[in-house]
Amino acid sequence: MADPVWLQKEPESVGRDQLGVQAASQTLYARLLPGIRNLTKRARYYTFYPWVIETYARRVGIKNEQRFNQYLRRAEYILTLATALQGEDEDTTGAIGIRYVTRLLDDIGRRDATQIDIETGANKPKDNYFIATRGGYGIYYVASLADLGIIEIRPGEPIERLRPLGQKLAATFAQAPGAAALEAALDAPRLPIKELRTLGTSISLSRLSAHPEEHELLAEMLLNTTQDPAEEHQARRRSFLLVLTAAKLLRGGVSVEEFRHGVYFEQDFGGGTIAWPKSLRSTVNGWRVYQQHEYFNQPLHYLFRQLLDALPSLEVKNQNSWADYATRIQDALRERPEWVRDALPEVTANTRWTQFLTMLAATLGENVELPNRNRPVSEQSLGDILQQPATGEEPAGSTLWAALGMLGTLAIRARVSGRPYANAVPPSASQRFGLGLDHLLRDCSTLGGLTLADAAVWLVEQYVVRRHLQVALRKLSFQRQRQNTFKFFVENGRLRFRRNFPFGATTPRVGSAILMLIDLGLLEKAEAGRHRLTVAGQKLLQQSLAAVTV
Amino acid sequence: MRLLDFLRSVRPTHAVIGTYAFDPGFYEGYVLRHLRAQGCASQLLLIDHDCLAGTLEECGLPPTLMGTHYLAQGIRASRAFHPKFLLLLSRESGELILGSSNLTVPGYTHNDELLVHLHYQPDDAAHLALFQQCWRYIQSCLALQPSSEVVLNHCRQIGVECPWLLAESAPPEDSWLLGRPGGEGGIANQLVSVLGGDAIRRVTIMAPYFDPDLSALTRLAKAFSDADVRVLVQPTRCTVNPKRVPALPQNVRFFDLADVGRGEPGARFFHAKCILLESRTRSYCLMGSANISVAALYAPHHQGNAELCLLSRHDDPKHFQSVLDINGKLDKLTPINMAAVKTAYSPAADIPPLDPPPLQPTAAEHDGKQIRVFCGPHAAGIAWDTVQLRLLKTTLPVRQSIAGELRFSVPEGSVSDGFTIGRLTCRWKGKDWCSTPFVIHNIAALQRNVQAGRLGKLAGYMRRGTFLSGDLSAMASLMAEMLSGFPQGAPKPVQPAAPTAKPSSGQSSQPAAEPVRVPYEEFLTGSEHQPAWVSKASYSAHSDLDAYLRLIASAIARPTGNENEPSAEPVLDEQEEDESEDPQDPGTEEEQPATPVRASEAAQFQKRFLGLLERYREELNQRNRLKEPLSLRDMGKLIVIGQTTLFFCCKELPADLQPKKGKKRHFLEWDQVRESLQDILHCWFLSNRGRLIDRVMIEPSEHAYRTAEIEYFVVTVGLLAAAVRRVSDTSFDRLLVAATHWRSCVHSAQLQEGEVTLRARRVIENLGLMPIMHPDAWQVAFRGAAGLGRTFAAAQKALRGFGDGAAWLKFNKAQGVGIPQAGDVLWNPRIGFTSVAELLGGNKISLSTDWNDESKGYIAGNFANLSAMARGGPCPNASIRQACQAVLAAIGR
Repeated sequence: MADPVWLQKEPESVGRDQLGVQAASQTLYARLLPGIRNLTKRARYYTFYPWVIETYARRVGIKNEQRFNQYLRRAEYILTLATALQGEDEDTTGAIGIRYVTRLLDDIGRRDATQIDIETGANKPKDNYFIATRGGYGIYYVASLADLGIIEIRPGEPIERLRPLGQKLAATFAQAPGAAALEAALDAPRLPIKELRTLGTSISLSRLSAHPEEHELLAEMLLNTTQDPAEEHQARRRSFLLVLTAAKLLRGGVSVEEFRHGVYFEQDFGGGTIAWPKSLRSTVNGWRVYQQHEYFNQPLHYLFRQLLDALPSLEVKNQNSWADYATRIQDALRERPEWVRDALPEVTANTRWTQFLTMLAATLGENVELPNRNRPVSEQSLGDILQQPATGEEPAGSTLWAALGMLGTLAIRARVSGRPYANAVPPSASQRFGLGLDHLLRDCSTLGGLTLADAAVWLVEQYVVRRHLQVALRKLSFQRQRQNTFKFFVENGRLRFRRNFPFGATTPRVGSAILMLIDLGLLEKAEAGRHRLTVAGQKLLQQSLAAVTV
Repeated sequence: MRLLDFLRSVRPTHAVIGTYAFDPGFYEGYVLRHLRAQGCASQLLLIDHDCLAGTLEECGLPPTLMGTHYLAQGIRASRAFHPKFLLLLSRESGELILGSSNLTVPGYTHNDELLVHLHYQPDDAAHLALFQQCWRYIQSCLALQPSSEVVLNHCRQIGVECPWLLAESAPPEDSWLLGRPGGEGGIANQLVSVLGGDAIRRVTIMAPYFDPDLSALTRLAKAFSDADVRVLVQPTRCTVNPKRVPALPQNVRFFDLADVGRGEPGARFFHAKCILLESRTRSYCLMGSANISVAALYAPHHQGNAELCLLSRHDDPKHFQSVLDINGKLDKLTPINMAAVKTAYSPAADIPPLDPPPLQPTAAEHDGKQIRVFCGPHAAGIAWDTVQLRLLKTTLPVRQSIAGELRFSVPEGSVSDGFTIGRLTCRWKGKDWCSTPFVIHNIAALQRNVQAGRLGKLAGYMRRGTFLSGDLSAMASLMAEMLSGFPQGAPKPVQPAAPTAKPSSGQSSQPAAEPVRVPYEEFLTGSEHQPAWVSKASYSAHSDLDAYLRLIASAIARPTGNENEPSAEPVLDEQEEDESEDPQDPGTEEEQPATPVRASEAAQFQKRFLGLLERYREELNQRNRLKEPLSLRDMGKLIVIGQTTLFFCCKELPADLQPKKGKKRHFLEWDQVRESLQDILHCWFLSNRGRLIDRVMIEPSEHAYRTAEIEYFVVTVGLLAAAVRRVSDTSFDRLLVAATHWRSCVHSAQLQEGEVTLRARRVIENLGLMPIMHPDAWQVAFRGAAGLGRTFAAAQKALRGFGDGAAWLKFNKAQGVGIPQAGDVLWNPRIGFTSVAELLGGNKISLSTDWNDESKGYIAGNFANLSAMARGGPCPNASIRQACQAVLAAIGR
């Protein structure tokens, strides 16, 4: 006899990059800022981890992964404790496991405890300082250390090997004030808070500047001050210098958002021109391509969110077929928002895509390849509209028009050169992008004869609905760890809502770069999340870019 | 049970899937792909007619491979074709999954669904009768409407290949397949007749959908009036009409499924359909596709839904509750007041009855120059001169109308092979009328994709390296499948009724007016199939090579998308196809050389391959008790580097097998893996479109241990590939030939030509490469290739004599040797002979012999630049310059 069985549900995950567009952004920024990662935020870890590997080899010397991981977690934990305890001026951003340590210290403060149990805290189980087996090293830093030539990862070997640069960094950290005390603390099952605080005053993440040799070596490595000709080192150097330049040129200092804006428009948030130095022109162009792809990404995701917002109520009404939704898109476009009436008075939902592009190009100005936020229509103004939440069962005309405007604007700019990614990546890389500006340019020939109402339907169907199904299916089919990331299902021609998701732009490592530049004493915190140049930063910039003018 | 895992684990030959709802994206992207990757190229879908029409709507999200890569038949039941099953078949075994899962993403991954999984094998035949009943049920469903001939032929062929399916075995004592159409009475009547006089005390119903007036539930409650009827629902998502609840018999109570842990509130839709019945001594479970509706359970003959359910019986009254993990929870539940719940019930809109359409297309097939549309009864008074077949950009007037079938002539080039959706149009009652869309099976495309797809998918699967890091049994199964599809010796005559094809001698046997049709059953999977290249294999080996390789290449290169469909097919054009199929010329049959591709071994391949690995594994594990046992995966791990190097590895041997002194070595038991290796190499050869096996390295582990036997094998395979590639005149290929050959020459310096030839003959026979390289032609090819090889061996000696890579780097730096140009021939002791494919910048180059997509390139300075030295650039000495010039001349540069 055969017994029935329940179908086991495939575990769902929110997933990332629901439309498979952001992977291209990652490729673009990874080429511009190679070596570091978004979560490798503190420069001192680049000396600390080599030192951990070196001391492990020297003091333990057993090639056992578990043993090494325990050692590593203890060392990380103690460094974070010391960093958190050392004083109020300490910036604990990016310290591994800082949230757990902060909670722990609050609890200890309430209990007036004098010691911290290192053994328990550093153990792997949940609710301890860090859930990952290899701590922050394993999930944040190890790949970055390998990229920078500090360690060598050999398949099958439990512990990474130090390259000559890594040995040098480890030796430098070992000479730092407090390093010997830290090494001694590694064996203790419990440590007095007082001792940890003392340790922090000399070895915390922010005390890098107190050890000039280490500081200099890290600056040399990250900023490539010795001008290693390897492309990745040069690219990283140029992007770091561009961030420093932005700190100098932007009023009040640099922030990540204004950096992105500044490289794209060559204007600050107020619309004032930014004169980027000629020597960094190619890097500015590369970042502009990245930002252009981000603008491409934006309307697609908001169109997707709009669809997901609408689906639940459409399902209740049994009006959730794609044909139903397509009709609603077309209807929504009948209502023209203010910016369309003002800037493109003759454009309606019945205007052909080609005519739309012609009229839109006129509003973008003569040098259409140079974005200008001061024009009546720009990526900035359209992006602002897209970010205004417009939810409900009907697709919002404002979102649809802004999306069409954004995609049209990008197509107009991209077709000037015909090779939208040429300034950032070689064709061999851009050809691998699943969906990008190349596709938009190519599809303009398909869209050309369609009305805007039909073009919007086509774009949502091809770039959003089908694209998501393809991407989610691929994640379900081919990823090693199968991921069920469907945000809606198709059943009997009906789109069935599954779940919505938060959309955010990609983070292009610039935030990490800023934090590292702070650690290196080249930037300092200013108001409103900005960062301004320090004297040392100005000096370095002057030496590196004599041509920079304010 | 996880259906996605199940689909990845099975190795059927045929799949027949029944579903009501259908998500073409999911099916084509996951189910079709994974089953094909495992060798199941024959897939047939039976889908509710209206649902299928809905998915084919142009404004929907229509399928892209239907009709070209798989068959689909819309089933017209009176109400709905509602069964959900997955029938996977091979010659000797079967799997049947039956339940509530539609062929959609939620049906396979997300909903709360209930399934039953039945197996059949010759030594486990308990459920054989249920498979046979299911097969008959499928035939009944196909008879509900005029089905496509290609579908019917496909089913006939499945029956031929799986004869066990056609018999009528004794049914099991405790399981019954209840189905409509085909069963006696409705599902409920069938249920009652099985129960006989068993006094049912308790009925537990779980379902999402109910009649608007709850009439089926009422009838069930009345039928079991002495029983406690408990209805478990997801209150807000079921379609119970709250207004009708008070009118239900008193023995009915509702409960919330969430209270028994099912149908997570707000998250997971409970789509399972199940009725549990308990008497004092027994329990029964009816599960499958039937909801609690009259259409599903009580409809009279020729009315209602098509449904398929399994009824099981057990002697423990609590058995099924326990199995479903609701045991013990039910009695403690508090009933819910369904009359007060806002359910998903919505009154059906009043739709006025529609006039029957003038034409009722149910299926179609595109066969050469003709499209046949199969139709249900048509209305009287049709203006036949207005009837047209509308395709994407074409409309075709009807050419002929015969009973149940319309025929349309297809002008050459007017219909894209990839487009398989059509509609009928005509003038009707003074208006333009248009039918719902239907699938047009493209027989030529199906022929290529169902048969050649086996080869292509295998190769694609191998090329991606998927199997290399995982389950070798998948590869073995694929290989066996592929080989079993190849001819068993000379072609058999085709049935007399089948249209004839043009003989290979060039005679024309058919008038051009009627398209020559290859009977579908012949190319499906049967032993009668003759691939186009087989007849050509009777020509000289070399002249066949290109056709053979192009066949493989075409099968491999075609992605599963429409844009690359058969129009780009260079080999299987109509003429060549016809040439291979002529059954009426006995001379052709006699003249056919014996060209089996390891046919005698094909069926045994998988068994033997896995058997070898298994034996070896057992032996090692016996010696290795203290350590983690080796898995099959450990045993046969193939690592491909740069697509041209093939390593055969195994885990480190136990200590007692290792030499006590000296360097640790790991031994490969050659006798046990030789055959497997040969098979692997065969696959490898095919997967590389006949590309050169550049290096064959057989490495037990990090340190190679080579016996003379292995050495011979390496040499002969290497030489074979080299000789085969001699047919190409491109300097790139000649370079590769030579690059391989010098290696072979190096190894074979102490070998006798006769011995090599002897082994080459064996390799050719074992690898089944006769269509490419006849053993008799080997020696000539070998000698031809040897000329190149000697030149390269001499050059290798001279270059190596100067020094290793470091010495060449030093020389290049000292002499200021510039960056090579694209196309320059290079040498390096590790890489061997190669050439520059592309300059990557930063003194880096990519190599023509490097097919690793992830490769970051090589530093140019580490290579000796033969082209530059031959051109007169810096060179260590005159003899090296001469050697360089000889190499350049030998490869025609």
